[in-house]
Amino acid sequence: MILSNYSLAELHGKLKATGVCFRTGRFVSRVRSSIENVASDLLQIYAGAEVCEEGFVDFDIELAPSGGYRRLFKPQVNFSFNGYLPFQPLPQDQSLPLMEWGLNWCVSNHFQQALVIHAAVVEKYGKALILPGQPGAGKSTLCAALVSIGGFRLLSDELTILDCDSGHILPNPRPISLKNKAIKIVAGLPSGLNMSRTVEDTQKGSVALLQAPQISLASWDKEALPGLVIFPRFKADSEGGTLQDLSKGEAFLQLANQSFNYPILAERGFKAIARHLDQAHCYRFEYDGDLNAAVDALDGLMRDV
Amino acid sequence: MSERLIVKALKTPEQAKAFSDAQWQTFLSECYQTGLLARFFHIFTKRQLLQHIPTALLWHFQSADVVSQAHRRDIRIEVEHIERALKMVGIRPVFLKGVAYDLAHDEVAEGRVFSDVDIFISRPELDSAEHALGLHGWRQGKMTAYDRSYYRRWMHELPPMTHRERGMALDVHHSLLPVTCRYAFDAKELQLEDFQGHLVLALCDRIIHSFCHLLMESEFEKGLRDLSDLDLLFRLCADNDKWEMLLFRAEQLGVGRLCFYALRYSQLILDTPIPEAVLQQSQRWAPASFTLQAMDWAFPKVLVNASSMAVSRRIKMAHFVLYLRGHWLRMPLYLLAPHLARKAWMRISGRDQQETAA
Repeated sequence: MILSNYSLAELHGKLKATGVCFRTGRFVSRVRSSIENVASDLLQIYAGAEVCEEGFVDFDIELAPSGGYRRLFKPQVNFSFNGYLPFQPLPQDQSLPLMEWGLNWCVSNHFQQALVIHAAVVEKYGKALILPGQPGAGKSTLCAALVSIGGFRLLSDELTILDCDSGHILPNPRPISLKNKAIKIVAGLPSGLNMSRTVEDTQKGSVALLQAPQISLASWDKEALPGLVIFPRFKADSEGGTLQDLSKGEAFLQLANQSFNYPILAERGFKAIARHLDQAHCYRFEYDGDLNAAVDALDGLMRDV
Repeated sequence: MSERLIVKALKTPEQAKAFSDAQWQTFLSECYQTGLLARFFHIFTKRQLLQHIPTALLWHFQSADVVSQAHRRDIRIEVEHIERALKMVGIRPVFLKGVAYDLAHDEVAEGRVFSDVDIFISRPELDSAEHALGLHGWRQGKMTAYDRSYYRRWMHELPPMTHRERGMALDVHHSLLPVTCRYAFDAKELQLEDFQGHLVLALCDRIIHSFCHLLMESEFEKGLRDLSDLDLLFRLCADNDKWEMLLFRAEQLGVGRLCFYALRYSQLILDTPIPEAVLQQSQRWAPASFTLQAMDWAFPKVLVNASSMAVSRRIKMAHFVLYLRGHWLRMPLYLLAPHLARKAWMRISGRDQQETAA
């Protein structure tokens, strides 16, 4: 059974009462919320998520209206994990992005079974393509394009999970988070995927979420081998884009820096990156915004590794 | 009210064998809420119960253990740094709380969360210690001049310091309890032990320090975790001599009343094995029967249920009662009232933000 088997009224009723358990990437979450638009948002971007009524729940979370006099004129929402509130409340309109940030927080704070890197990652030909990048480098846009028009499988848009022993990627497919200009660009791609409404004025500007393709969701437990590590940068005047070899030493430091739990895993984290990079090729990639050309170029590289 | 699963499992870990799937799910939530995941990983490992955790939930316990071990590794490095910095001015710090348990190889260090390092420096050495730590990269957070002087004059520690590069927090204590507190004792009387060159409080004083803190609190968000620490510390008193010593030290330091409560509630809530004779002896520190009734009503609720999770009005009330008690014990009213009034005014007028920003 998937989430879209529920009608809006049914889903809202369940979210309000006992909560709904469904698969959010590798993990199963129980989500509770009495906020009306949470149900409709979930039906958009988690439409194909597997409902897990039986079995165990990893993350027990709630999006609850915050109390106090504020609720009368400016309703806010709190994210809670087993009753603990890790964030400040946000306007209720931002419940959906808050849930996504919250779920990322759950993984990056509580999952130490593997190295968790802040990077997008997709798969093709059985191999992984990791896209780390500072905010604004365009990793999510590129990731969305690779998935929408390049036939790549989405493994994760935010959290690349590296198995410490094998150096393989453990998928965690969840919706892709798009910001500001990227929203319009990705909406124009022929992906056939649901896109959420755009939420304005968040801490990160405007945010919209793109549903993860069904094929990615279905193969959440299928690991990917090391392939490419690409450090993307959007540069309007780079005409056709440029590819530049990156030394493994430098790639290593960058990946370690972008890891949430490298200091915690220490030696095991070191080994995870080392094993991955032993088998992966690393490049710097500047692209001019022509997503079709960028996807073709990366597809070509993937064929060769 | 039925007993929470987490309390059952702390009392008798073997009870977890009989947990249903739904109970394991609830137990996991309770572990997250109380910060006891890593502690249970240790308990279950030691009692060979790990295989009873449902496979799908095992990673939560393992991950918490990884974090606990990593913090433990980090604080050991921090201990070396702090000792080196203070050696320059000829001061040997005394390590307290979690770090002390780790250095002394107490079982209570297993599965504990080590969030910061606590050291004790005697009052006369405070200025030079602060200077040396500053030179070696420890910085105090921004605060108003009022807060700064408050810490020095009335509290038992300096404002928390953070290392510029490593980001590790350091609390420098110059007394074990707030100076104003009803049970304040002279820090010169503390007994120390040396573990491979590192100074820590002697076992009985470690235990006393632990329960003084727990029972003087006014907020009990992690009350059960602290009570579990205390339970494990009491279990280190394996023979009669140690128990005698504990009672003797509690008397000497003037914290008999707190010792009475600690023994009573640890035994009552977690079934800590405390000899009957010790409980009997501690009776001499019991409060008047009305007070005892009130404490017996409040403490078992508050130590087991965090106030942020509480739905029951009685539990909330119990938290409120102990909140008032905590403040009352720490500061006489003629100091507390002006302090709270001043803090409130600074918050309302926004002056605290202006001053810290400056």
